[in-house]
Amino acid sequence: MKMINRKVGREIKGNLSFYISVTLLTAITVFLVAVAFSDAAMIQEDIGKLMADCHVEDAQFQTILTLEDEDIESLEAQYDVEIEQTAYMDAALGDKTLRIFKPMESVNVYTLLEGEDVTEQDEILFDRDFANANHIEIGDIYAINGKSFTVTGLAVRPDYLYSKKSLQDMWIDKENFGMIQVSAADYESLLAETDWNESTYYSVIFHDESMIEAFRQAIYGEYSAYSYLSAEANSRIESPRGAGDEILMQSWSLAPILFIVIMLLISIVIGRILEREKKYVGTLLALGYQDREISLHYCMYAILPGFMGSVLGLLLAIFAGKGVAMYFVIDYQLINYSFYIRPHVLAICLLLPTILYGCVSYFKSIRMVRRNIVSMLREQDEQNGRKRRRRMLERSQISFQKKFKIRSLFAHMGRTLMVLFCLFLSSFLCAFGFSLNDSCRNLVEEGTNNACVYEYSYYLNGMHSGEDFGGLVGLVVTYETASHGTITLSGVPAGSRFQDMEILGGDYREDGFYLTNAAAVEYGLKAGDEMTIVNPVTLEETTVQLDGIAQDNSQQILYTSYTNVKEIIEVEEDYFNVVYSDTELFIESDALSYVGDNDGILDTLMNAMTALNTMVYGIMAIGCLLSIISVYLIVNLLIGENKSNISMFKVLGYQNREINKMILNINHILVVIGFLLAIPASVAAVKILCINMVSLLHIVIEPSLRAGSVALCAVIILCSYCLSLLLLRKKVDRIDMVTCLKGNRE
Amino acid sequence: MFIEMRDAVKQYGHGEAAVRALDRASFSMKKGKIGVILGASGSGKSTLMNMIGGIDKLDSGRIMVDNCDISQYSRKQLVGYRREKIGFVFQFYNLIPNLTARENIETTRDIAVNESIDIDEIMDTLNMTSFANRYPSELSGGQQQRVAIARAIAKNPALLLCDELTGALDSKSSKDVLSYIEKINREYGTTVLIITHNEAIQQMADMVIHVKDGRVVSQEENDNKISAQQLAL
Repeated sequence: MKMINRKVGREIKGNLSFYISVTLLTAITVFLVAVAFSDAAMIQEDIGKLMADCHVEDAQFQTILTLEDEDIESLEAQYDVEIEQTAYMDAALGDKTLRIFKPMESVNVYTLLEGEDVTEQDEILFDRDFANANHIEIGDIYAINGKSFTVTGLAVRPDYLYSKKSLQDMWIDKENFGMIQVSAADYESLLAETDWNESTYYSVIFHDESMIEAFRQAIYGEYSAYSYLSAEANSRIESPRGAGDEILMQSWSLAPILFIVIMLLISIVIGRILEREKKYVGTLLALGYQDREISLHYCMYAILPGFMGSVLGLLLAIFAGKGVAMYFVIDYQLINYSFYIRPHVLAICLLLPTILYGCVSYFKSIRMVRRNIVSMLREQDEQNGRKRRRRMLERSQISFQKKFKIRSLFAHMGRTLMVLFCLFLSSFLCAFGFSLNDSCRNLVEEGTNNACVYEYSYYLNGMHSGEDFGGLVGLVVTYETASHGTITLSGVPAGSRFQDMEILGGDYREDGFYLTNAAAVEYGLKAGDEMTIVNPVTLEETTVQLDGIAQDNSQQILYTSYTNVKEIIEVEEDYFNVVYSDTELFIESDALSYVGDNDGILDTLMNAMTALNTMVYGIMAIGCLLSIISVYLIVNLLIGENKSNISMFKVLGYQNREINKMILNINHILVVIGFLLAIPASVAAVKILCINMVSLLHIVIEPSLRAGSVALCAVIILCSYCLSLLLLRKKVDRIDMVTCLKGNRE
Repeated sequence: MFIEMRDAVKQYGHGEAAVRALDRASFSMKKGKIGVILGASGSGKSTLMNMIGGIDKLDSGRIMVDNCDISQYSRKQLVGYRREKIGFVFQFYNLIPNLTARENIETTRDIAVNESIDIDEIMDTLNMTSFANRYPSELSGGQQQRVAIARAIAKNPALLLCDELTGALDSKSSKDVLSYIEKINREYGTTVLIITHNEAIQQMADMVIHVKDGRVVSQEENDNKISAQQLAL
């Protein structure tokens, strides 16, 4: 076998563009797979480890009656939990807010990322993102309330990895919201010396899940709990926890497609090599070579670029993997990630392409070697189907150029379908990116319309009654669903603009219950269905019948009348905790929990779009690359097969332009077909992706593809296609008449 | 003179591997005649034909065809030259495999600069109507060569270049093919230059040119010309 394997190297040299393309595509795919798995594992492990080491809370709650030390000890013993009070105060320094935390001992303990811990007074630890955004370095002196503190290090809390100032915030502001750890003595001194309000709640860790419900009932019954938030419903904790899963979901949608494309390309090219070498294969068989020996020889053609691509992809992943991961965790506090390619990922990436490509090549060649040896030696074509297709249009009066093109297209159906598939796939990836982009844009545009019925929504710190803040008042409370999700119960003021909300398939009735579409899709509910909601504090269940679905894809809200909510949450007449207004109101900051305004929501959603766009452009770039590489490879094959024809046309006096028209341009129609098929397919794929993302993002993205995007997508695909043809035109130009005519004599 | 080659030099390769395919080769030929270039394998006769046909360029020397100095032609001009003036017939036919016999002939008619010859007339002349709709793989060697000849003359070229056109044919087919060449020369007045190593073919030529080691060693007129059917092939 050694002698015949010598030709592998020569074949690679002679067909370098194919091997470079397969190596490159393999490298991209392996890079994607290696980075996705390793980044996901890194994020899951490192964030998971930090949360475990720092004893992140499982829930937080507030009670009317204070839990004394003995109460805490008693609850801990009785329900197998750990409880510690979280306390902080917000220092407003110009536009910036610094949240100063009281050091904790057993729950939500901060961890040092850089520098030294605070050991004595006048020392301070910043969170890394705020420090980076504000160019604060270790050793700097930072003044708070006129007192100078030395920055000794950077730290992070496990319950603030997604450092939203308020849980209602849709986005983070790393530049203007920071977290500070000081010594217990400094905390007490700042609390005493300033008028900053201290906020407190209890953080709890459960060691026995079966005791959770009993514990919740106990804190409500014995200590009058008035708020309860589980970690699953706390985006500061849950979002970073799910970041790894999001990466895996995005990568899994692309990597297998790329592998399939490469395997098809290999199958086609190896098939053409075998077809070209059938006389040689027949000779080897006649000389006594076994089927298996010859098939293994042809495996080498595919294994080599597979292995080379894997190594290249892995090297790229090693160098760039951490950088890519940082893009996925950019919203979260930058912790000390340790990136490395996991051994099982390394093994899969090294072996999978090699094995897959080897198998494709082996099965392709084993089919060839089982053909009749005599027909191989005579280079006879055994494929009757191809002969039939070659006879197409023989009685037709159309020009020979058209017949030549049509027959070239249909004579090698495998090749034509492959070109069609690749053109479809690249158009699909491109259109998929655009569709995702358009769908998100729609969400942003329609989302703000639906999210903010009024220009401003002022969420108050607690229940108010009798005060006139100047707007319409309502009630907003967070409830749990039967499946442990969270839902906002919104009691809207009578006669407000909320009753103009678009209701799917019906009209708004003042005392009806209307679930937003985002929640309806997530929980699989429709108008007429019953929905059970659970008071997170009392665990009391309320079942309501849905009168309709509100056309709001960005929020999880159950709308009903103010009166209905008042009855459900059992508050006195005239109590409210939210004020709606179209003009800006001046409400004391102490009374406010959060202010929602149209511009703010639009900004935050646009910010989210910017991050998404990066991914979209990545998908589109892969689509274009795929189009260029696949079209180049397959049309290159076409040129190789038509070398003597091209040469002959040249000899006959055809100009290169005329030859290109016959040889290169036969796939034009496939670009159109591929594109037309890709458009609905991409919208359908976005729909599937969006449905899968509902449980992760809690929003419904309606698939859409705007006319402008279709046009732009068409331009991109055409440009990629034309670029491939432009590169190949030079190949046609280079075909030498003399050499090819001589070659025919062999 | 219709063809006039003077001191043609063509070298392939460099250094020790260099091969001088044409070495100051010179000859000339009148219009409307049949010329035969004779020489052993590797003597440079195919190179000579490639130069006259404008599919390769000389390193030095001059080639005049129909009063045009094609050795000075650019690539683009050579395309036009081949398109207008030259018909090629090759030993291995070089037919387009996925086109029928008739469609192969149409390939040259479509780009004809001169008034092209009617395809049916050519097929009648070459007696090929019975296989006009067959593909090259379904034809015998002789039939394929007739298609190649028909394709070459469909655009009514001034010069028909035939490279070992009987090299792959049996004796009867060879005679038939050469008879068709005679017929074309007679009926359409096409100048024909046949390149061959088969000495018997020289008897049907008006002019015989001997090539050896890239040089034209002799050029003589044949006064005792016989018809192709009389050749002892």
